[in-house]
Amino acid sequence: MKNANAAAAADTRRAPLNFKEGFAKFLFFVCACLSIIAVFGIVGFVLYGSVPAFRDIGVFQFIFGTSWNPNYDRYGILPMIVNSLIVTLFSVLLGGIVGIFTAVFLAFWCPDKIHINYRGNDPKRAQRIEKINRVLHKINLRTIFDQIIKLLAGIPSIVYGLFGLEIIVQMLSGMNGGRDGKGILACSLLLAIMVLPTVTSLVKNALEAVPESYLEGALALGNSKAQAVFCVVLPAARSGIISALILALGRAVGEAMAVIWVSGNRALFPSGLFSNIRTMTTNIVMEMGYATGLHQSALLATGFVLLVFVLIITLSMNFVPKEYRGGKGTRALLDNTGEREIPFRKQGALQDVLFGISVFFAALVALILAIIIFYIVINGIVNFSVSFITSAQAIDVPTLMPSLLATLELVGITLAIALPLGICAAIFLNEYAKPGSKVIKVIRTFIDTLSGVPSIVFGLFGMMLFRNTLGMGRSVLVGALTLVIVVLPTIIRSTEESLHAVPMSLREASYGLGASKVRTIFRIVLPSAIPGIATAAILAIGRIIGESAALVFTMGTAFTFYGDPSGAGSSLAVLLYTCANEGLHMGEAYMTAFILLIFAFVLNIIVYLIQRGVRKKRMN
Amino acid sequence: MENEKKNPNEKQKKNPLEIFDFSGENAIEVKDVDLYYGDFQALKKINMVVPKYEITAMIGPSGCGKSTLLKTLNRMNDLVEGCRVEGLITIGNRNIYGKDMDLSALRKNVGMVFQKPNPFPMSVYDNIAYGPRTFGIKKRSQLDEIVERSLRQAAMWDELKDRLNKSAIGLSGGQQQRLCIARALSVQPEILLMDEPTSALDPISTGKIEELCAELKKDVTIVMVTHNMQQAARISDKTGFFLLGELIEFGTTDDIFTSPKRPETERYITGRFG
Amino acid sequence: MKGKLLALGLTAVVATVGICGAVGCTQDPELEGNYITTAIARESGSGTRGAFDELVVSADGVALEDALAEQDFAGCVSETSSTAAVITEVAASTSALGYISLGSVAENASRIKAVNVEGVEPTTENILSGDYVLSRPFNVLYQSYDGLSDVAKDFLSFILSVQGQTIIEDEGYIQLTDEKVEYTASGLTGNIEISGSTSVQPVMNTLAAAYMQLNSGVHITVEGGGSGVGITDAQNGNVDFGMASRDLHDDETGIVAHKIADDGIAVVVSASCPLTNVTLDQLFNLYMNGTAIEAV
Repeated sequence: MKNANAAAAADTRRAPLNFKEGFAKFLFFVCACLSIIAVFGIVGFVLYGSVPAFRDIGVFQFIFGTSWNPNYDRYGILPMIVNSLIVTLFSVLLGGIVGIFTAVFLAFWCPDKIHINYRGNDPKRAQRIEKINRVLHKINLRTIFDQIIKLLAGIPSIVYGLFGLEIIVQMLSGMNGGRDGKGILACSLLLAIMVLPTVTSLVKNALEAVPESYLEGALALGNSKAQAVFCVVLPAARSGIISALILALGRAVGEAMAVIWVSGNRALFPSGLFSNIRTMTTNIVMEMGYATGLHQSALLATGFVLLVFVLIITLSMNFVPKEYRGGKGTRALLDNTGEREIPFRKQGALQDVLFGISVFFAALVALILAIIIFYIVINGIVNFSVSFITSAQAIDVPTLMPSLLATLELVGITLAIALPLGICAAIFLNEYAKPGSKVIKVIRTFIDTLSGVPSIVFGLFGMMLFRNTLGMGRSVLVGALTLVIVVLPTIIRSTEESLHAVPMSLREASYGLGASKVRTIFRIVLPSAIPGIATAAILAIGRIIGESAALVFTMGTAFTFYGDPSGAGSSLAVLLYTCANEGLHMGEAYMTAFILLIFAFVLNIIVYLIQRGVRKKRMN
Repeated sequence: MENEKKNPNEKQKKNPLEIFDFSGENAIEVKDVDLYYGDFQALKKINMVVPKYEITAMIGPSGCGKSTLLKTLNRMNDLVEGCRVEGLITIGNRNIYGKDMDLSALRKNVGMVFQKPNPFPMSVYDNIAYGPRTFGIKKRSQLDEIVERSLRQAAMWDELKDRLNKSAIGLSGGQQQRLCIARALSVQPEILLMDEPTSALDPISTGKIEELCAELKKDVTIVMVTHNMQQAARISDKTGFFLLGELIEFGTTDDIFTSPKRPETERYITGRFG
Repeated sequence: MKGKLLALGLTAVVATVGICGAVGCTQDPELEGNYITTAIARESGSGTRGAFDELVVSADGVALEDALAEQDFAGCVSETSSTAAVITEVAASTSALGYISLGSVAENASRIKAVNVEGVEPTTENILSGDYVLSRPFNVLYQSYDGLSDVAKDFLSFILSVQGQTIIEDEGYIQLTDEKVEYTASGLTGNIEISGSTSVQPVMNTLAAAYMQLNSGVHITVEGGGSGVGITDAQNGNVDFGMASRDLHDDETGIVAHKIADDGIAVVVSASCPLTNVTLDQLFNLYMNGTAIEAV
């Protein structure tokens, strides 16, 4: 890069360098196609690995077999399919309904500021209350609720697993008269809580994207606010809501690490709310580590069936109608003009009840969220030990430093590969491809598909490709390579959004000065999109830090890490999994959970600050 | 006063929506109204009487408070945080800022059309049937009747009768705005507030809406905010001129445009400022 | 208005949670610590599970592992992939029973306790004498001794030395009865990777730490995953040593198992559970048929 003055350089009229331009375009195109390659690669590898199972067991026998016992070569996954579907539906139903109502409350009723009204005459009390009010006014309730929900969306699933094991299962055990609390209900509740933040924030976005004028129009017709919200705004946001629910379905069906501790892990058909179950994902996590031969192939085949379900769910997203398409239940009228008196009556009691429900659910969600955060923080503080934080690594006790180092290296390597690829792909999608063209549609579909693939399938893929095919051992490098594919969709999407937000006029101004397209992109567009790219990177970091299922089989679970990326180590999330899994280091597990929460918190704050900065800049 | 109050109260027991009594001469009476947004005073001591079945235009430069006043008439200003109204606004013999005022009833009787057309993302039919439906009309035949009557009132029936099932979002801007007028008419309001209803439209659509207003004033009282002085001169019966939150002058349109009493008014309508 | 509704919503939530809590606290009176109705098993790749299935035999001489070839566990059995979950679940419910490595019992003695099996207390003496039947070996696995690196060989000799075996004893496991020699630091350098049984892992960690203290140029990485992982990794040559908390099966070929210690499998219940003794037949029937065990 020449450090020449940009304006002067742009002014010199150079003949367009066709080769350079063409090569750049080709490069961007290849990056954009990476997600297609990745999807095919994943499907291909998993399918390739499952062929022996399908061949030796038989597709029908495998899918409709009712017994699973690898020690005696019984491989039937029907119970697991049924369990996965039931738990997914329950959780999305539960989490979806609660999430939608909470989002409605947040978008329309959540007060920004709390204010205590004092109507008495005592001037001293009035003064005191005035003081309290002044403090209260500094707190923006809506922003706080919002940020907490974002924070919970960013908490690693493994932390939810810990919460499920320690709180939900115990609570349900009480309801079950002291018997085992694990099973369908526990899984559904935990997954419902896990999809709640996703559903709530997506539905809230969808509701806020509905033009304010719809609400005004309905109010001006004499609707109560509840009527306007539930009869006009909510239906107007339905495509966004359906998309949110589909995303939640995908997340629930693919969740592995949280479920493993609360399901009971028995490959049985469900017989009641407390019957122990095993889902497709947990089947893989439980047995993949030691499976060989047909057993391994059967697990890959389980992954393939899971992948098929997820693909169906993700692809169904494309069939959500974007807007009203006309015509149901209405018909053309006959010409008739009666002048009879029409009796209008006041309605809206139902909507008032719905409003009450949304207040209730929002309060419930706030309570649950508070409990989760409180649980992590309290346990983190109670179990605080200086030696965990400060001591150098020891092989027999988990310590923070090696995991932190491994996590940092993991983040560094992953981003170093994924960021350039993702940015190039986003550049192609936003700057080169014609909006609405087929190429774009295909690539977008694949990016969406890739982002819907469950972590555990990424883990399988990484294990198959890097370990079994390329013969690499478990290492930070292998983990990072696997995670590149995991974070690519996130990076592409948010970079694309920020590129899209760069005003066209800036580009035109640059072209007008005679700058080439590549130059315009690198000198004008990308610099203006830096906040968005930073956001993309931070979202990716959050995903990397929180990932566990894809790393257990690719990066390893060792407590030690000696700094060499070709060695095994455990990221913080995996450390939590290992500590809690063996049960000998629960204190360390709680502290790790606390640290992960702090990470998620800090990352959220950074994103919030960046976005607020951008918003302020736009306003000025 | 006592008697007048009793009558609507008796009615209220029957139907809380029919609390207004429009038998008098004036539809709206505004008395000493001040309006504040937080510490900012947006309206200062407004006094104005809107007669029944006439078109009243409100003109003035941007930010003069005319839209604000319009929105206080059906209390859409309640949505704005920190908005406070003092003074008395009487519609159909009721103080609309009274404690027991039912907003649904008020807005059912005082309809509103917005600057930008805002049809709901539903079919044409559902857009118009929406209002009646939320007021408890479920019978298909009654809804059909209302839809047709409203569309005829808005002079759109022939245009749209074969497209009732189509999405309202697909209509042109002018059609959308007239659909919004039809939608406002569907709940049979006595008063229709229009907030610069033609500012987003082309001249032909504007003409159609002006024609429509002239036709509509047989049945409803229209209060219209407009930036377009020719429009005010063309269609309104009364005109009020606003400046910096004050009602400078209010009178018949002829008087305002031909012999304004206040120099500010004259300067404004002759285009010398604003 | 808003404030009131918010307050109403909060009250409703508190009430709901309160009711749930009240319902949650009601124990089924029949189950109050008198019966064991829930059993917890490890996943099928676990060495502890493998040894347990092999050693628990019904009154008519059928081992769990043979019975499992015909049918699955009863519905009251849940499977977990970790000692942690076994401990947590057992600790939380007086009606639950599970099994873990004996070495893990002492650290969690405030929450769980080991019960006698067939009237025999799980102690080192009883395991060595063979009176306590639920015991299994801890093995390290490798493809061939000659194929091991020098540093790996040296580490193995440390494990088998007086120092290594003392560590094993101190950690609550049972040291080998063979002749032992004193270990002297070799000063070698290099990396050793180990993976496998989560039961062996804690003691292997301690051993590795002690070894690295003596030989500062050596980096040892120990990972869990279960005995199955150790076997697979050793077979594939992914690691220097695999760890297994059971003997190799006949079909697990290509590797050598080198015994480094013995360990008991403790049958554990909640610390507040009155149960003190179980028979193998009771265990068999609980896991296979869901027959409750009465705690007397």
